[in-house]
Amino acid sequence: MVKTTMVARVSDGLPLAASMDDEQSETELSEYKGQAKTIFRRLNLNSEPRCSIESGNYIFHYIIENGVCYLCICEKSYPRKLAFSYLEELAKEFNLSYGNEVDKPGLRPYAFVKFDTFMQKTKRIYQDTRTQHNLTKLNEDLQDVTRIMTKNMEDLLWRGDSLDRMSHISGELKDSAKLFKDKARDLNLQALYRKYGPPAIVILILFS
Amino acid sequence: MDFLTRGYNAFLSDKGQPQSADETIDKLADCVQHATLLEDRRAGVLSLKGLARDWTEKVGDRSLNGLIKVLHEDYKDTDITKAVLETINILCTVSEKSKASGYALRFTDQFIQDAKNVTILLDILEEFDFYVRFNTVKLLVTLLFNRSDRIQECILTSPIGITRLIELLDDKREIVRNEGLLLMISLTETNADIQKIVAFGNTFERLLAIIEEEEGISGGIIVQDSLSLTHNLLRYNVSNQNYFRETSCIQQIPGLLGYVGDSNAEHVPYSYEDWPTQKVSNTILVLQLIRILTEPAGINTAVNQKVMAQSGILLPVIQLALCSNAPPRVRTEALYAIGYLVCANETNQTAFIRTMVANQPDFTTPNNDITTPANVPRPALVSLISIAAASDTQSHYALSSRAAAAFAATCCIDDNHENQLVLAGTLQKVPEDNANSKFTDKPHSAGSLLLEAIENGHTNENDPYSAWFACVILSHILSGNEKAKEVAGRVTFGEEAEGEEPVPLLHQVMAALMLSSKESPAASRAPIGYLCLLCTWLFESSSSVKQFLSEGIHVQFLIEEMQKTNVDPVIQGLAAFLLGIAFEYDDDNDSAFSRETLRDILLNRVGADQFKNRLSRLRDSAAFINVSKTMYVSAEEDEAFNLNGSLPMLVLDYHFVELFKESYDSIQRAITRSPKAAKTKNFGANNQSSGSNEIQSYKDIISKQDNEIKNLKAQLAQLQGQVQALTTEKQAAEDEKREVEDKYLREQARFATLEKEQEDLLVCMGEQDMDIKKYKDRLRSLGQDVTDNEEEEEEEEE
Repeated sequence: MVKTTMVARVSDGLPLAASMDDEQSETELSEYKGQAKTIFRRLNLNSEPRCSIESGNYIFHYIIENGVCYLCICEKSYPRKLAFSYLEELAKEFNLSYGNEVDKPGLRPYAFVKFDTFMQKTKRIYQDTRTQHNLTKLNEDLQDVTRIMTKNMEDLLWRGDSLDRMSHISGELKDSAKLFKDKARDLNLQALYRKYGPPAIVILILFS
Repeated sequence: MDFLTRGYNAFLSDKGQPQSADETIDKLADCVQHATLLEDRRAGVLSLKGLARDWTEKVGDRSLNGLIKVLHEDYKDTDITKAVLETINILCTVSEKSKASGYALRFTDQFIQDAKNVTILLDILEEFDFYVRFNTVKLLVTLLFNRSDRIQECILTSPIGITRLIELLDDKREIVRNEGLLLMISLTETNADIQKIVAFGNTFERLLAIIEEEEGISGGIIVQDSLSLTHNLLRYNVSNQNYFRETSCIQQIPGLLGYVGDSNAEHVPYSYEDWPTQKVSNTILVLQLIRILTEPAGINTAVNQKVMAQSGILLPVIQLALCSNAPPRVRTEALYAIGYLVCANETNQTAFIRTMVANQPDFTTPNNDITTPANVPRPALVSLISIAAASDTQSHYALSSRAAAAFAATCCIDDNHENQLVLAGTLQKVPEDNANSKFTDKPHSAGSLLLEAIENGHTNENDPYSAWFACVILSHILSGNEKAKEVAGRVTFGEEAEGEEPVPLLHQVMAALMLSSKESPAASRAPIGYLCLLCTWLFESSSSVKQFLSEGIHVQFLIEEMQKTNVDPVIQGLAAFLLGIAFEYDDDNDSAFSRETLRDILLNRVGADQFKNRLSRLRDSAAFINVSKTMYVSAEEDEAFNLNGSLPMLVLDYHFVELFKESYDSIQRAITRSPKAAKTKNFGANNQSSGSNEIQSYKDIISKQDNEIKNLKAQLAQLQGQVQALTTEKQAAEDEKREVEDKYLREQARFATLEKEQEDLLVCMGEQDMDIKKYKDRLRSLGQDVTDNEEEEEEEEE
């Protein structure tokens, strides 16, 4: 089921609304919420408009519509189709009620707390995957969910690091290659001396 | 319960009958107040909440008491509490609609009349549920907005109230935390008690943690809120400032500002950054935080300055101020922060002057070869002066930034004779060795920049302030430092090699003054600057006065200036003051004008009355009264200057105004006491010799007193020895006495035992007497004669 939902502005990652959770899931999810915030910060208008990101026991789904990103954290077993249709429903409603206020400057974080009521209501509809409403949704081929990219949280968070590591390793490789080249040249020279040295000396002695 | 909601729904659909609203509200209010079932009350409250938006006044009038009652009784039930809080919040919120009748304020008053109502709100904050907390905080914010004093009072009466509020800052849910922050900001605005309690609840650390969590200075509006709360807690509150320092929060400020580049490098590198508006306001708040903690002449300023310097705050601030692409407002604040950090603190002044900063790279010619010396690092102070005097050709600084730079420069110079002398030593023109060079920047020193600005200031019409700032800085270099004045007096202009006659700097300033005052009054800041500089220079320095008077035209010019009618009164007053100073300190017998001639000229051509008038007019002028301690130029003035060239209110330097106030009386009296001028002069002439006599006599007295003290000390030692001897004696006597007493007691005891023994013996003897008598009687009865003589008797018995 959907654990929690967050809505943020894409241009600067400003949180606009979030679902209110009870005490238990609040503490459980605090780490993942932090990750969700990092995702918001990394998003820009050119980012993937739909994406799923795996992280631990949970999976994040987000869609971007009209410069607003809707993200939900679900259990891994929850069907992706339902998650995305949930997000779309949210997006439609949000755009209808607050769409023109989103880009106002000087907006405080969580300016649209009231959207929570709608989110709770919708969440309840989507809670049980076996209700008729949801089953039909599942069966409908409204959207091709399989084409939505799935990424891994670790990759997302540590991508910069691994790039760094890669460049570091390649640098090392380059250095050792140079060393190897120098050594090879040395050895070649030595072999040359060994081959032609003694005859040359003998000839020198003979001539002198 | 159902029937009520149904009734309400039915009522809603029936919009044509406004009377029924009254009835429904009455019914609901009654239900809320008297219903026995929790469900009924809940339904009532929910319905009232629905009605409150449209019928605010009626709902409030009829049901506020009931709602408060519910709040007290049912606050354990989250649903009903949520609704009640929301309803009261609607009732108390001042909107456009309610403004006219003012019922929102009336309901607020009704609610907070009983402090218990506020206390219950604070108790409700314990509840974890989001909406309960959120609505409680919202309601508190509304109440605080309406009646802040009373609420502060109520919160203070509740013992754990503030702690609860502080805990809001720890709430994991950011919405609650953000609202809590807003609440705390408005709560701590004025009340020092609350500020203290809040600060001592570890709030600074919490705030710094929040700032860190929100990505520090480049973070969002929450960072700004946290910083403004910190401001509220620290401003005007010395004990909180102490606490802030003692919990080592100051050390975190440099980290907030951030520093680009290696802090161990030889010079501060130039930094390019993005400056979104939020970052600008956050940075300004951090810089203002530094200023709050280092308010000049504050009790803690010296300690705070020290701690800040130790935590390495200077480098980031210098980078922001002198070598970054920060917007003007940030630059201005950073420059002021530098001024506050080094003000009256010798260590920091030295540290600042030693710092080298990167020169501004040339943006205008990107294809220029890199070998141009534009990027040579220069001392920070030179950079300051070049900002103030606008000598940097490639960049344009706002007037407010330049004023701030001038202020920072004067802060580095003030009260530091060494720095004054060093700077006076750099007053040299840069040699024009390479006239054909295409590079416009020559390696400038601080002094050469000043000289250039002073020399050319009057010619630059677009920039009326460059000469003014240079004059202010130079006057701070010379102020109260006779040696620096001497050094400056030797500075000459003009190339002797090219046949020009060398002109001393003092005369050059005067010449610049004469030239500048001929121009239109719009550019009148330059002459004021020159006059202030001259006043400070001549003050208490007879040798400088002599140099000044050596050109007769100087006095003549000043007198003409005073007599003109269409001249700025400030300039006239300054001219009068300058003449007065020249007259007062004209002690040298060789000077071109003796005191008498000068006085005659003054009295005949100007007159004592006019002279006095000019001075008092300066003293009463707006420029004089509104003088800013920090040479502050507001952003509006800045804009006005850029738009239509109207000049800001920055006319006089605070330092000069102080000097004027101090010497105003004596200068004025020197002229009014004109009949006795000769006497004053004699007195003045004798002043030095009599001074040395006086010193001698004082020295004598001091040595006499010294001897006396020595004698007395010896006596004291002797007496102390005696006292010691006596005390030991006394001790011995006491010991002896105690011994004797012991002995006496022992003897007494022995005596008592002896006495007892004797008594026993006596009893024994009595018994034996009786025995003897008995025997005697027996003997008698046996018929023996017994004599009364005992010895005989005994012999007989034997």
